Amino acid sequence: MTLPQRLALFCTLLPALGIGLAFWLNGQAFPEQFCVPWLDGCTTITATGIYYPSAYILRGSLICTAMFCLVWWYCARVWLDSSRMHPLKGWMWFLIVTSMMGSLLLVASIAVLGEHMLPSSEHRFLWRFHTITAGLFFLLTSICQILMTFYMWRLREPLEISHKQILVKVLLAAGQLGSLLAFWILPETGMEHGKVEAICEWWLATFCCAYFVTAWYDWADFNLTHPATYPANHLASQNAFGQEREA
Amino acid sequence: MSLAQVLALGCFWISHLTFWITLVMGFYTGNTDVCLPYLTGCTSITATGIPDPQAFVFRGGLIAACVLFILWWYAMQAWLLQLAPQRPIMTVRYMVSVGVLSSVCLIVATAVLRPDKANLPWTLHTVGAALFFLISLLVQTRVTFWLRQLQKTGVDVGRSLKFKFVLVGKQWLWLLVMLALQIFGSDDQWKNVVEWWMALLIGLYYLSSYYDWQDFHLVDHSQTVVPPRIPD
Repeated sequence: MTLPQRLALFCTLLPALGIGLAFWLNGQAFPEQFCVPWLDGCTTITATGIYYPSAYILRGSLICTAMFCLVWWYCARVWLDSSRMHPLKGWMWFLIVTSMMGSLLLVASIAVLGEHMLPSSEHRFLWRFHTITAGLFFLLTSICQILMTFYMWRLREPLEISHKQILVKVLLAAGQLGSLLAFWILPETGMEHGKVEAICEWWLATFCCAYFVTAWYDWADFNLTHPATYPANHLASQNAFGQEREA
Repeated sequence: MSLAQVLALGCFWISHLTFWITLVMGFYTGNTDVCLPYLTGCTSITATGIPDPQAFVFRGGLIAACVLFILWWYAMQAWLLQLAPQRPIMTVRYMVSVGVLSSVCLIVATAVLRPDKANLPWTLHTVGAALFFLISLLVQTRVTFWLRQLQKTGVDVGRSLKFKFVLVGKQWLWLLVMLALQIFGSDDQWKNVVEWWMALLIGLYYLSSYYDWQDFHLVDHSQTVVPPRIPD
């Protein structure tokens, strides 16, 4: 398995395991609150990581996830650049930088979580900081993934992405777009705002995480390579276009 | 700059900037006296990351650095396999897995830090941190000796081998000092000095691969034919 493939797996499995375990631990501590948050919106992801020991798990797993995502975006940039069909335009560069910033915002958002935020009325600044940074992470990551899907749709032939692979990406991007829209639209229909927020958050997080693993198939032959084992065309392509593969 | 080089730089700078920033924050908030812990051992690395708001920076920065340590080990694995494909693969995997394990130990040790010291799971933190130092040293030593072995067979292992030997040698020296301090029941102050230097040397070891990995790029091997450019 190549390094970028491992990244793709970690970006999806680690948050799933971390949030799942934190949620389960919370369920053990408060059995009466046990529910299915994707349907009930009974709790938020943040709420699973406030009390110890679930806070340790959520903190460790999500900060790690954020860093894996950051490196995933770096790899995505190099991979898209390596297609040689369509040199990265300014907006694509901006897209990758924005998504990396989103990952850093998640680090900041999770680093402040813990029981020291209670009672919430006395720690309004921390709560506001957490909410804004987490919200921006979701927003930036979703927008970047949606735009990346659009970009990859255009490059599906040179990048040799099969119809099935791109379809999965499109579905996940559509799911994210739907979650973002529902976040604004549903409260207008009279639904309880807190519940809608929570349900949208869980679905958005699920789609975001699942999106990362879709690169697993794309990156089967994409790896760190010693100069002695460069494929012949790598050097040829460098000579032809006079460019480095990685900035 | 290649991804591997970014990892080498990130491992050192993110971890050490985190230490130094939290230390300066400690001076500013009055949690720590103004001093140079590498010389006086006035505070431990752990102590700089316990009180808020330093804890936020410490937690975020150090766990983030640990992820880069993990990726650095994967990069090292890929590099070693390509340098010496005739070596048994299991040996490399074993070393890298142990290297990853050391980083996971540090993640656990950092994630359990909390401002209320009385409820902090000290055993988990201390064991996690100690295992990180010890396992990192063992794996770095093993990798360094293996690289020397490869160099003897004529393989180009990069320019940093001598530097790596110096770093590993100094770490063993500090470990012996730490053992002596434990045996003679020395003051925590001197143990803190050893801790700061050990962390610096481990970080520099990660950084030392920066020059070796100059041409160690991410390459997509599936593209066997260079396609023509499409006009923008």
